[in-house]
Amino acid sequence: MDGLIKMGEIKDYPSFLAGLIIVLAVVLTAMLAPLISPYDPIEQNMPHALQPPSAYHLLGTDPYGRDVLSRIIWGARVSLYVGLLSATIAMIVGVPFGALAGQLGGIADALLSRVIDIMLSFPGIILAIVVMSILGQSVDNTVLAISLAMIPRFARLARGEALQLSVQEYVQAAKASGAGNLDILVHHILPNILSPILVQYSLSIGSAIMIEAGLSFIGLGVQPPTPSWGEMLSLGRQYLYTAPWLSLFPGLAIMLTVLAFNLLGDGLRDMLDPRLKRV
Amino acid sequence: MDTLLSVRNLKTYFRVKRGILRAVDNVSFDIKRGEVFCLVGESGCGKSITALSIMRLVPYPGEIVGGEILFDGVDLLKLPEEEMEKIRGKRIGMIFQDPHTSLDPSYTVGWQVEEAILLHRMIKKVSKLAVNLLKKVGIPAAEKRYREYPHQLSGGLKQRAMIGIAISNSPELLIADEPTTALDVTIQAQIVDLMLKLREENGISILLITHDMGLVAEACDRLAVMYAGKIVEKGSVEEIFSEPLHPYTKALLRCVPRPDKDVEKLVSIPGTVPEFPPASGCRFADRCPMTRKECFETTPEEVNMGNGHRVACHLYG
Amino acid sequence: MGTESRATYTGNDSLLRIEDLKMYFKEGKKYLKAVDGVTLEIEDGESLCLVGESGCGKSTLLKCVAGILKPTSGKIIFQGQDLTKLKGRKLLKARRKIQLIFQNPYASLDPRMKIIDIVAEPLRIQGVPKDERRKIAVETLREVGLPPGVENKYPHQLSGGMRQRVAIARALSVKPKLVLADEPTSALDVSVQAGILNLMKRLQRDYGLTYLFVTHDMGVVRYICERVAVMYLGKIAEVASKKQLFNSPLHPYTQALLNSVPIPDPSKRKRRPPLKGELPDPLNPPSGCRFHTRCPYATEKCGKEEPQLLPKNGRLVACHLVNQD
Repeated sequence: MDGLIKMGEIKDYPSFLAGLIIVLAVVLTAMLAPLISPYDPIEQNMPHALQPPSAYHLLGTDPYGRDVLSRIIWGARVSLYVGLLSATIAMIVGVPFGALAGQLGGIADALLSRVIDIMLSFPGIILAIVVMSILGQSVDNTVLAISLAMIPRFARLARGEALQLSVQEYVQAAKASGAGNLDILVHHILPNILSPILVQYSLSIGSAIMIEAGLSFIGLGVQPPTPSWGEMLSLGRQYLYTAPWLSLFPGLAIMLTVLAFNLLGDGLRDMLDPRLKRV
Repeated sequence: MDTLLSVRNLKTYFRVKRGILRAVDNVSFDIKRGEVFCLVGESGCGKSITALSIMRLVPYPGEIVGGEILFDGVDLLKLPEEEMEKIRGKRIGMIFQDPHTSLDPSYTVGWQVEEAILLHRMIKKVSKLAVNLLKKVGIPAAEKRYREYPHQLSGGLKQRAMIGIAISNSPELLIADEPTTALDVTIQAQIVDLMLKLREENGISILLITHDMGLVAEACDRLAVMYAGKIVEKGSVEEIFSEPLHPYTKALLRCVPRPDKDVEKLVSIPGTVPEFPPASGCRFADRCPMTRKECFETTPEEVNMGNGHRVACHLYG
Repeated sequence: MGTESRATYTGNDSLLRIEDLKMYFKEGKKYLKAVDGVTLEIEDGESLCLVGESGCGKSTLLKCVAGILKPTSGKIIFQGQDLTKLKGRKLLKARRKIQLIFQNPYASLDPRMKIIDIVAEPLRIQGVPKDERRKIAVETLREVGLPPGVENKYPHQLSGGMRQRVAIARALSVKPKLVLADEPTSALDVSVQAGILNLMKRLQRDYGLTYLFVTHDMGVVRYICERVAVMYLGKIAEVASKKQLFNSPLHPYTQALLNSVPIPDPSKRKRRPPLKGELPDPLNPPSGCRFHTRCPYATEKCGKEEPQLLPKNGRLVACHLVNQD
């Protein structure tokens, strides 16, 4: 894949660069959580409950006296784990199915398209709720539920791209040389749909983080006391007027991270699309 | 015949990331009233940008940076935009290469012809005029076609409709940018025939932009051969075809496969057109079989060889 | 055998024989008969041009022979085997001998593949080991006149002419017998076109290739072909040797086609009346002879009865007027 992105070009895409920096910062935060978090995120400390931001607790404490900053730092782990893993699973499952359907056309395509349509007509979060209530609550089930909800996005995108590619002359040339469908999929279709898929992947991580927060917010996602941004928001809701820092900071964390992945995705789109390349 | 359009030292440059692209560099030519003048050259030679410069429709990041375009004695480059709008579509009409994308798919053909007329003239019975125009450009069943949408017309009919729109306000100059390239040969012949008929009947001048040497020989009176943004040779069609002087013109004429005679071997021109040609020297120098030292050092000046035949080449300096 | 008998020659040494080939596409409730009963023979080592205007079915016919489209009915007999009946390994083996060059060198090369992998692809599909196919690919690239170093570039780094040379190298890499070319120079500038046509001519001589060459450019036809088949709306109007066709076209459509071509010589300028009318809608082709709506000589019979492709003075013509006298 050399030639896809040139390092020297990155500076021409400031939004991509901004997204990249924030994403890296979040990743580092999650990785270094045990080292940089000032307090234990789970241990309760009732005497210090509901303290506003101060020099000791930069972002304040929650009703159980836990440090909000520490919980946000640890919560990044959950968010990234769920976001990355579910987007990856959705991509790995959705893309080959969609690409093959688009490439083959006919009944296979019609069938898959209908399935995708049905799945897409379901709001992703509702689908996730259904899955969670069947499978039970755990981080891994959250991942499963979210990836299931996001598979059709990847499948539909891959299908559309593959459909366009399948009539390209270089695909016809391979066909004329006797190449089979799988050969064409691996050698021509997949490499050529990589760029839009990558963009979608980045955007999907952002929305997976959103869905996870939403699920945790309504109490279906990650279970307390494991720190998660959605669960923190949910807790903060009851103290919205008395302790606004409880909702404000996890909310900001979600917003910033999702924004970063979206910037990254949009930036990738601009960089990878030769039509948008500046001469 | 007096001069209708005089392009003098036109320079249209594109400022791109990698430098300045001299798409049209010091181009001069005259078009007389009632004549068909051809700008000939291969893709990227600047012929289309020259045409767009005359219309003052150069796309971003291009810019006309110098020269004069005298139309009927008035320098178009000095006119305010509102004045220019009165000239576009009224005194100068233009048709483009691809008839399939030049008409708006969401309006009827008749509506688009009428719009072109009403932009410049207040006329009550405009629909009658529009139908007559469609008839004039040889569209059969014009009353029916008037009510139809572009997708219902074939490529040839669309190009006829485009010509109808271009001549709707009886312009003095018609600029045709590769008007037949997207069409089949039998339809191509019809369109050329129509344009020549318009010239005969209305005395309209035509600036024909093409890469097709056959079309040039068939349709035009005088021509200019362009290469990499510069005119290398100009003169009457008879002069240039019987006695081409510039090595590029010579090669261009000998690389065309001939439908009228058997050719043993075609001449091809090695190399490619330079994207950013050097500021001085002949732009054809690196592909020319006759290069000398000076070709790389100084830009050749145009030399008059008599009979209006001019060539920019050191061989004749 | 003299050139006079060539057009109608039906000997055993024909490399490719297309028999009553039909390719219909369903469009709504109607059928678009893109190729409607074409029979054509190509001899080993010759170059045959298929000419005609857009929508005449020439490219569709080519795609059927190339195996990109599966014909509705008819036979494609290549070296004695009917390709429409072959499957699996056998088809792959037969296919190796037929290669295709596309019109647009900007679209026919995969933008994500290196030049060497593009050229080696047909060999890879045929199961040639990696080292060997790379060696052949490099040799073939030199053969089509591309400089060393081009192997590791990507298509977008090359000019149109160079890309078309890459496409030719790809076709040549498996040492084919029959090369199908679909307007291989129409997207190129004339100065570049000349180089490609010269190359194709030389390769034909050096490798004994057979060409089935689709084009709309009569100049290209005259330069590259020995025999010409003229198509109009899915049917063959005339098959003749190049000499016959350019000196004395028989079918009125062939005449009109030649008459419409502008000649790059102002001393031969002619103000000929161009052929009237538009190409009919291929979904509703005219009855009888499909050309009768535009033919200056059409009679009542032409609108009713479909003319057969019959031998006439050593060529094949489908026209009532020509065939009756």
